[in-house]
Amino acid sequence: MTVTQAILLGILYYFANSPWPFGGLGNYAILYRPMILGLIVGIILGNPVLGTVIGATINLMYIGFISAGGSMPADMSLAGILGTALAITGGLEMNAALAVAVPLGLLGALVWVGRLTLDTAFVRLADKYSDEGKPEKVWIANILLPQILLFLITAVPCFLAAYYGAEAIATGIQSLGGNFLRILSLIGGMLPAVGIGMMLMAIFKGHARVFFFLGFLTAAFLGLKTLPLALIFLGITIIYISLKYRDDPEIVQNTEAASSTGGLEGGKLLAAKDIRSAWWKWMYYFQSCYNYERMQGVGFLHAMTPVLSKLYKDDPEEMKNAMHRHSEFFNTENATGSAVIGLVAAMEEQKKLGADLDNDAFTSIKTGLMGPLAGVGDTIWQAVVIPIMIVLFLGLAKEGNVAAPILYSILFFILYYVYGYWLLKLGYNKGREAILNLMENKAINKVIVGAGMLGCAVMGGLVSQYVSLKTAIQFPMGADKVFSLQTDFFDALIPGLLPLLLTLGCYALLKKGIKAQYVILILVAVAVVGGLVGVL
Amino acid sequence: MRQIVLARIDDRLIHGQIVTSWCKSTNASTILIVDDRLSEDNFTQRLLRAAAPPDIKVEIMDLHAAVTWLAENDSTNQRIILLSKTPQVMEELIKNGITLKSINLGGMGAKAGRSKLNKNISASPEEVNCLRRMLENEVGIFYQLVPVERPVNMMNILKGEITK
Repeated sequence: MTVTQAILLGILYYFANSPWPFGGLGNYAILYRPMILGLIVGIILGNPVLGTVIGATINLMYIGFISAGGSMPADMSLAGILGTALAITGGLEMNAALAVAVPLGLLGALVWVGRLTLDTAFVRLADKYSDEGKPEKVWIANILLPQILLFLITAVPCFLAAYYGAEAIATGIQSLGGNFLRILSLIGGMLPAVGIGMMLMAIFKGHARVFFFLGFLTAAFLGLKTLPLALIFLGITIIYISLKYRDDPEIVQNTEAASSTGGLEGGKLLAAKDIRSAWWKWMYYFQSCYNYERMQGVGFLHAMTPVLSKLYKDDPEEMKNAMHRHSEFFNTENATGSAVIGLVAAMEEQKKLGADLDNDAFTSIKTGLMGPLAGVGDTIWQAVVIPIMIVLFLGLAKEGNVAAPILYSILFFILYYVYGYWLLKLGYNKGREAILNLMENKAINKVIVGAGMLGCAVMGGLVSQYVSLKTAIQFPMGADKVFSLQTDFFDALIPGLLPLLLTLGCYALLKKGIKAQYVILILVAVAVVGGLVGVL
Repeated sequence: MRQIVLARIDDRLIHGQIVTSWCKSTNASTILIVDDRLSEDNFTQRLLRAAAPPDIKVEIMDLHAAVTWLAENDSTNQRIILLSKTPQVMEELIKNGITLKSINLGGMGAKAGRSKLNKNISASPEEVNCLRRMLENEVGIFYQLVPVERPVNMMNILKGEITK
């Protein structure tokens, strides 16, 4: 690896954790994912196809991954970048690369804790700007300094690890010889079972369980790949959901709130462009200065600056007051939080027009909405949309199709901004009752339940295609014949039965409350013992 | 007494961590929010109910009603996640005979009068004292955002607070 390549990998790791180029949730769903990082690492290292394949393999492990409200179980972006780099430069086989990438992901989670701790320093600076009533300076506290800090704690260590570590680790692993590599590859083959097990935690219930087995059987017997399998089960799911909710009277209520809210028009004081400018800042920089003290507080303040600058430019006292009330503790889900930006902008406008709204009125609406909106938003995006969309394209990516990660990125980007803009309009034009009506609309539940069923079917297909576990047990049958437990029994009965049992086993352990790290360690132990004894 | 599977202090009450993680890992069937002010706030009540997963029942009560309700025998084996915004509510529940062996600190946001204890947990002196009193009564106080994280025993941090 050249110095330039290592520097580029360092910079890539920074971007994966920054707001650029796709915006907060956009970057988290696109550039942070190993499937997309694999392609880019591949381009940097001169082998985009191999990069895509390895990135997709590593991504399998993180399908059921959720980071909610400031918790971060592992850093899949570091696992994606270094794991792919290791595999390409060191010639590591895919499954072995996955086995090495997973501990790197755990290490990367430290960066997250460091960032949330250190960013607290910039909160003081934002408070100072609020004391002075200077909204035009908030970007320094929200973007400039936190991003410089983020660059230092991401790009530098990743560069060092890539430049000095990647080849050394790969050569080290290679030199340990065939048996070690074989066991590493066994581990990597089993690991996706943990990732799929984590995903099942969210969706494996009720009739969806039947869908899981149907998905598995369809893939195992008919050899269907992910995309056709998903399309077929999409049809079945739609029929199932429409039958299930056929007699549900609640489903028809509130359809008005869910209908489009028309265009975004300015109010008496704010122009549409002021509101849009606030929204863009929110979509990109809501979490740029994420910190344990106020979480997205500085991000929210920054988003409100175009609105405050317009309304209070001639009222320095109210400017200071308003800046303080919008830098309080705030934490919600990015895209759904657009509704709060719209709503609070409308409230500020009404206040300026004479409505009786004190600081408490703002605080209570913001704190009341942030939790519930995050609950719905995290479910929609992190538990449903991102994993299902990733899975749809993962099969193609794993076959080396470089268009798959690109197509996924474009589709997600459009969906994220259309959804966010729609909620911004809802919040600004229709107010808090409309937000509540939308949340109470049972159609959301219908979609979530349906997505869970479809997700289960696709997960079943993934088990059959990408979890690998084979037994090497053989029984001598007479002079020159052997009975292979794998080919003569399991494969003849149901191909992929062992991976299925393994996945259900991982799910059962996770369900019992055993942490994913320990489940991984159990798999490692099984692989080591099984590999050495010759059972696997 | 009804079965409480998690008692958590979290000023955002129902949000992503509760919906995507805790409800699943605890196999909860019910979320009970104890908050005197909220029991009269219809708008926020409806929001919270809408935010919970469809298969989870949400009960919102003031302290008095919660004590009575929790003390009842339950033949339906509900598994309850108990949520409050402040430690004082938990202490009052315990004083009124509700058994809580340990309390999960999930989120107490920074605001005027509160100082930082650990990561996203800030507390006023009165809240620190309240947590300390519960510790002295052998109630464990653990910081843990989501089930996959290792719980952090807050005993030493809370003890350290008094010497400051």
